[in-house]
Amino acid sequence: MDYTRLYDVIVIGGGHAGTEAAHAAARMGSDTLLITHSIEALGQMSCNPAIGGIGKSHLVREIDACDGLMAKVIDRAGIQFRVLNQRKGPAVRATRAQADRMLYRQHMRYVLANTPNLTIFQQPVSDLLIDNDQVKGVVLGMGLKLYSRTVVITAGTFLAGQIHIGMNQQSGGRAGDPASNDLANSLRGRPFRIARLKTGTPPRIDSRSVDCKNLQEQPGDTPTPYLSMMSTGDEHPQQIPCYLSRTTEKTRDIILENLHLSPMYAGVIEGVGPRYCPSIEDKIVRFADKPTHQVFLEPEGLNSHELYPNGVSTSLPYEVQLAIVRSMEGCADAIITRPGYAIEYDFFDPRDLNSTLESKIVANLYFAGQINGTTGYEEAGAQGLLAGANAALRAQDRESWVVGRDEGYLGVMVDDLITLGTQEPYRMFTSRAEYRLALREDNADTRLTEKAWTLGLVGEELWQKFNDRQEQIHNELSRLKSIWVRPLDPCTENLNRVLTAPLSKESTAHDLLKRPEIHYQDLVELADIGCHSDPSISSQVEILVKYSGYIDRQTDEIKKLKKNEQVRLPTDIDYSKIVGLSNEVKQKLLDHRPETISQASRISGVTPAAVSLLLVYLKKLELSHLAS
Amino acid sequence: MIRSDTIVASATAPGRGAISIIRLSGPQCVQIAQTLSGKLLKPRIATFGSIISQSEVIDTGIWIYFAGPHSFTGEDTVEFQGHGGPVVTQTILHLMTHLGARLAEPGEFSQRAFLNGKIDLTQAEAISDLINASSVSAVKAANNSLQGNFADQVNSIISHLITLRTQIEAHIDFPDEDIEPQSINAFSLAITDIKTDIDKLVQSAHEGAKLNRSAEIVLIGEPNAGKSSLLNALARAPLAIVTDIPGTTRDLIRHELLIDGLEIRITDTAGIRSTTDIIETEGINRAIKALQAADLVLCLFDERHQQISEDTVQNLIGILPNIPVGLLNTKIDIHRKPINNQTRYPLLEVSSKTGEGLPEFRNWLLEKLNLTTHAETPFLARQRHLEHLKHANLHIKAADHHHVAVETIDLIAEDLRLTQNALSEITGRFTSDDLLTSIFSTFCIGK
Ligand SMILES: Cc1cc2nc3c(=O)[nH]c(=O)nc-3n(C[C@H](O)[C@H](O)[C@H](O)COP(=O)(O)OP(=O)(O)OC[C@H]3O[C@@H](n4cnc5c(N)ncnc54)[C@H](O)[C@@H]3O)c2cc1C
Ligand SMILES: Nc1nc2c(ncn2[C@@H]2O[C@H](COP(=O)(O)OP(=O)(O)O)[C@@H](O)[C@H]2O)c(=O)[nH]1
Ligand SMILES: [Mg+2]
Repeated sequence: MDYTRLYDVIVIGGGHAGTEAAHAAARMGSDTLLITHSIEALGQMSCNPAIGGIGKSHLVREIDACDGLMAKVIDRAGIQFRVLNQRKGPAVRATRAQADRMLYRQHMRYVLANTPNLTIFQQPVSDLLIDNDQVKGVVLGMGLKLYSRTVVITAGTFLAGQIHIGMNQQSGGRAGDPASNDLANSLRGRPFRIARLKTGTPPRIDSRSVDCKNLQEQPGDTPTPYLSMMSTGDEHPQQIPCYLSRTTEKTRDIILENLHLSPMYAGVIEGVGPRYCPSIEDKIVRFADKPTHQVFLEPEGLNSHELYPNGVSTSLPYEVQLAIVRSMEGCADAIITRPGYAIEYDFFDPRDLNSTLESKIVANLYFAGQINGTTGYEEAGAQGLLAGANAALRAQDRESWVVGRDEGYLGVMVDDLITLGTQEPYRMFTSRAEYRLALREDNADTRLTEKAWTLGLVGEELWQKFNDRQEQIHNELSRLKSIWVRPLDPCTENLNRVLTAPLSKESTAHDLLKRPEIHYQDLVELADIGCHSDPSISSQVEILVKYSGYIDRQTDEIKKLKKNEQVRLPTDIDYSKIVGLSNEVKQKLLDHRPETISQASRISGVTPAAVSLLLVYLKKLELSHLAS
Repeated sequence: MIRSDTIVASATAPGRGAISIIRLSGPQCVQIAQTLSGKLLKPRIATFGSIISQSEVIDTGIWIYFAGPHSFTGEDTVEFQGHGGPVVTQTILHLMTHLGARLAEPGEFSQRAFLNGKIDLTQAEAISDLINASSVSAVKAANNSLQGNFADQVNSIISHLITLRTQIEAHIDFPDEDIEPQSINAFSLAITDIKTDIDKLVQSAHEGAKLNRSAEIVLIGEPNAGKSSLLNALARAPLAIVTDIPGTTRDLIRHELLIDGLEIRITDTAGIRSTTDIIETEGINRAIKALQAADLVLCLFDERHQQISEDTVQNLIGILPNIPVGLLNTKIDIHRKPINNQTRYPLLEVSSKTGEGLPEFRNWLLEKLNLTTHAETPFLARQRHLEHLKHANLHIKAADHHHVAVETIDLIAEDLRLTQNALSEITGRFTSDDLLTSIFSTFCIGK
């Protein structure tokens, strides 16, 4: 690390957001410095050793469509892959991979260490250098000052991190790592809106102490799926299964008896936890009539004897944790290798960010990952990509990059965060995306790769592959449109058996495929149309044709919204001057500071009439501007 | 909101005059007009034509097309001048919405005109006031439409829909959780049920859509101020009990009057004053409710007052922005003392006993209420609600039409989302976060 240099981008933190951010900036040719507590811990999975899942795999594919890291790394570190919702329709299908924690770190570190334009340095950052509401660099723990054009903070759960096990509390960023207290203190001294959130993790179990014989085995899918467009499936390490255990009535009794020892229930923890990652004590209390809860026992790696019991996150005292684990099916003699815990940390109100993840308070300063109120590696990674790319664009004096709600889950997440803020750690779900049918795992490249290419995020190899794929999709669509099937053709008899109404006039294969009862495979088998050699292309084409009605309608809806998105609200707008707005709406607008009319309209309590008043006010400003 | 859609509304005041004008504005207006008239429309040329639906002539009149930007709103605009009548007008509006237009929000034509630069800067405040007043009246009217049976049925449909969506979305977003497996068959039955309920509601709501479209006026004032007497004088019949014991009027007394063809509904309220009498307290509560639904509030003062300040008025009616207020000096036959009016509201003088000042008062009233012709009425609000229900119906039909299967669950979920969006226009926004909240409180989910 050269301390005399003016870096383009400094990234603080080498977690999932930080690694993507640094790699993205470096890919774009920016002189990038990644500063983190520990080089060994680059890409460390703090909690669950898994990547993907519903909603999350969509984010991973979007990162991949921009040539980012997460998908490529998990394809080399995943030890069990499954496609969830396989039968439920392409828009909600999602790939999930169990990771070997160590392999994941190794590959992540290997890629980063071999990235041009990227320097990695191990040191805690203790302060930011800010001059005139603009960030100028960082101060290291050892006192050194480093200068840069832009800074991306991705400090995860580390800022004033407080670990709870029973009534015992310690400072920490996650088990085994120090908290980041200096940086937290200096940030608290600045005009950011900061609050506390909490999350938790289960105890880990020695797999040799678990009796798996009677537990249901859950193998991965065959053929083994993969996440990156650049993968072929050959990069996977050995694949191993998970096991399914359950809590028992005894588990419930133990927890109810010891509830007073839970820091959550005793009121020691003030931070809000995620509703969808409840601790086992929460589940037992809230769903008292449910006799048992499932627990997936997930291997932590090929060379590890540790199991991650997915479903029993807890911050009860160690003695109680042990009793809980031993009350689970197949775990009577279980040995705990690490205790579970809850962690509380500082996060920054994401409403203080704009859609590039740049702070509205300090220029050239970007925030990404857990510190924006999200949870999850994928959520962090995707934000890291966006923040890193925008920091690089700023350093290069180029126009910023915004992802729309109609372009990706990344866009949905960022827009939700910056317009609505969050009351709990935010996790992605497909139900958050109103354009769910258009935002699929299988078309992330169609949505994002071309744009990412123009930004300089995409390498030559992916670009070639992308163009090749697009061309094949296009050709296959044309081919289907050019094949005619007539009522009197010999094959039609077969076809009619599948059709709800027999073929009455000549149709193209393309038209036939539009019918809900007909699949691509039927056409291949019954109408003898021949098939494309790459199943991923034919399935893409099938989805495009089948969904076209819905997607056209969504496209219409999107076009209408686009107009509102283009109407920007000036940052210095004085809401108190707008005649007719109620005080409640004024306060909301002040708190949220929406960037566009479209964002304003999504804030709860902002009525259509209030939006009309805003529009009239904007027009008035424009007219008086013209007049003067 | 900036919308590029086509809006439609009746441009003439309800219940008045022999000609009714219906105005369309937006990109689809020419297409809609040509479909309905079967005539080719040319800019700024009046074309005589009929509106025919299912080979029945609905109305005959003149079509005029103003091509944007040379129109009132700056967009393509079409006007139809027909013979009117509330039923015919409603039928025409319905045909137009069926062809893709949307019932305009109150004040939306003027708003578009302003945003398209057709109205100059000096009018900005007026437009803001208009939007404000309209939205207040729209909320009031919507509340009036959403009452009783109708509201119960809408709410019941929405709650069934939320339950169904909660199950389907949980099924999609949490496949690995041990949620009671809901059979696809159950989803399918639930969809059909909801569809049937919406169908029924649309049917019955159409039949019962004879909602009152009168203006609401509330009389308010201290006990014995002369409210009941004024009401009787306007109605020309003794409706309320008139005595000189303060606090007689315990219940709300309503009467509908026809002044110059305009229906007016007047509510006489218990004077607002602190009391320990339970029945009277109830009366006061009702008075406050009536105030919230009013288009105009009249405050009555008799000889006990020498001057009226803003505070006096506020004490009487509480803080109610955007509702026009008028002050009345009553019983002028016995005192003839002018009241010193220090408020921004107009003050009129009447005697219910002799009738002095009553004609002037009626005229003033009429003028006031006519100014609010762009305001939303419960009748219009109900029409709007019906349009939303019909939209919801289209989407739920699409869901029902899919053979409901695991493979199409994402499409069904989309149809149900659109159904909910349409219903949300009636009862308020239902966000994806609301849906998640429902999922998390219904199912035990999480790692
Ligand atoms: C106990 C626990 C439970 C969790 N449970 C869940 C869960 O249930 N579900 C889920 O989806 N996610 C969970 N997570 C969250 C998941 O780990 C995070 O969402 C994800 O790691 C966030 O990525 P990040 O890059 O924002 O931060 P992190 O992965 O936390 O990375 C932050 C990085 O910044 C470095 N750093 C911090 N401060 C400084 C500094 N001042 N100077 C230099 N470097 C610094 C750290 O060393 C670290 O490398 C949990 C995390 C923890 C700790
Ligand atoms: N002389 C005269 N007396 C009136 C007039 N209006 C009301 N009063 C009397 O005032 C008293 C109270 O009237 P009422 O209408 O019951 O008042 P309320 O309590 O406001 O409804 C009764 O005795 C009425 O006869 C009026 O115009 N002239
Ligand atoms: Mg009375």
